[in-house]
Amino acid sequence: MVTDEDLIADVKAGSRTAFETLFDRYREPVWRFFRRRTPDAARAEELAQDTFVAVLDGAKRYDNRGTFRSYLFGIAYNVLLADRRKAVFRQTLPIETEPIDPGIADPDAAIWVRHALATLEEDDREILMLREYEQLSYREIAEIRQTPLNTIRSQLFRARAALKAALDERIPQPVRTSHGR
Amino acid sequence: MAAEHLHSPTPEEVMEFVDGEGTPAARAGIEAHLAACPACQTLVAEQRGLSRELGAWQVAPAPESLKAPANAAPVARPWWRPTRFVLAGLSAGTVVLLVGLFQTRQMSRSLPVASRQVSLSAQEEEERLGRGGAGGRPAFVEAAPRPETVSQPAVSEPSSLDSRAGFAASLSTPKPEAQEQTGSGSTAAVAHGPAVIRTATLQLVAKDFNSVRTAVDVILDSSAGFADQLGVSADPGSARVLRGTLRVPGTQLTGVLTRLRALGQVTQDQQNAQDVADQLVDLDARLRSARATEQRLIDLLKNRTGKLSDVLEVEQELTRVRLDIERLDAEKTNMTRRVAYATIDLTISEERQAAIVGPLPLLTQLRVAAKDGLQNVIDMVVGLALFVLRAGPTVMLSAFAGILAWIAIRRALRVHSA
Repeated sequence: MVTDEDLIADVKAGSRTAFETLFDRYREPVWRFFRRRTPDAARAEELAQDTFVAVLDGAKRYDNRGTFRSYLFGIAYNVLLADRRKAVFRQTLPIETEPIDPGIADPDAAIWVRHALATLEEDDREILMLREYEQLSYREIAEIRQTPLNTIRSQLFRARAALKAALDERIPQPVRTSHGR
Repeated sequence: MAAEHLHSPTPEEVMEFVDGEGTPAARAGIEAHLAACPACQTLVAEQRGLSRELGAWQVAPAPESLKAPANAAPVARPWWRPTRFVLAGLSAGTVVLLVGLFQTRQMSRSLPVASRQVSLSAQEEEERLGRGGAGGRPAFVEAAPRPETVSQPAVSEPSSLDSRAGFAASLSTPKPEAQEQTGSGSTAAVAHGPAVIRTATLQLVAKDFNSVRTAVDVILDSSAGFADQLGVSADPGSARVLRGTLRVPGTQLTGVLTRLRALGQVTQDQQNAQDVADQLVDLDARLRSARATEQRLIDLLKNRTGKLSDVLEVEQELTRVRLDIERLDAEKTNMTRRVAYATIDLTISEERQAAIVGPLPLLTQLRVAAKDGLQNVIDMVVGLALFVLRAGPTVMLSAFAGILAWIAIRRALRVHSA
């Protein structure tokens, strides 16, 4: 199997096929990244599209210093932040007002998790989600957020403790998210 | 959790182990520790249980419409993406600009009312023209016909008449050219033809306002006229207006008006004439009668034979008659002067203001508007430059301090949240 780094190197050389392969690999992860963080599905799709466009556009500047995965989610994270800055002037809906996507195994559990995540501080929630859903390493999270590694570790531990407390209460308390850092 | 795990490894290290982080040696050490530590086993179970619970939040698959972009073009990227510092600088500059514009407008409004009123009295005007006679008396006085009374013995009469007598004495030296212009005197004019008081009102719009004042002076000089009153009002940023009352010999009126009209575009031109010949004849008759009465009273005093009370009564009557003579004489002099010198009410506006107040050709209005617009731009640039020089350093320093404070607060908040 061709690695992500080899594929992006081919994209850098102008290979359209390599880019489509990368797109197929990360289409769902990038979509999920935005879907969990954006109340509007259409907006999430737009942001995912913007992310791949940015990858294609910036392929020639890819320096192969880290994994392509961290590079990709770094771009996605920046796209998300840019959208949140613009969203300051838009109406922001509570994260839990978005209906649970149909077809999942345990909708009740999903609702509880979403409520619990909504109770976390924004930075803690973001780090926890990058770790749990995007499966990024501590170092990759630190690079994306431009935060020291030890800080990431402390924040992650604190976020998990808070999440556990919130889940233990099992009382959904809607919290309005600001969609800002 | 922290209270329960004061031993090594710490809860965070256990969490790292669960997440697959840490060096191989550390992971091996924790793995060995876990086998004998129920508390850490519980912690590991909690961490893994949390991950499982979080996994319950699934999202639907990506929509079919999410396809690989064909190229990088769909994202419209700005040709320039400024950094935060550049944005902050631009913001500060914008603030300076806005404050500068505001200040400029305020300064222009708060300037002392510099309505420059250049007003010259007739005497100042005459002195400026160097035509003042003895005692600075206006030329028209010298040109006025010599009243018959000036040769009367009244000049040596009681002190109550001294000032008037002095005035009469000053009238005894008529100016030859004025005499020539007015004929041989008002009496002759009254006797042989109409005595007309002429007035004219002339309003002009001048393109070259700077040369107007000089041109008016030249016209007055060449026509032996003078300015009874002449003033230029000029507000900063607005058009200037010259207003004046000119006196010119009646025979020169037509020529003077013709030359004045050439100074600009005429917006009002009006002339009036009033024949006062009858009034002058009447004044002459009353004067002659009063002087005859005066002479008879003087003769009575010279040959006085009655009582003292009668003498005093005659003297009182003589005083009254002399006052009448003076009043009639002044009235006649004034009327004669008005006959001899026509009056022109002159108003000359600068072209810029005229576009606002009067109908002008479209081309002229456009030219005026363009000139005003250019002047406004120049004023704004100059005002802005002055403000930047005066307040710019302070504002920039404040903006720089604000940026530093903002950065410091951001960092403090980030450290606090960490």
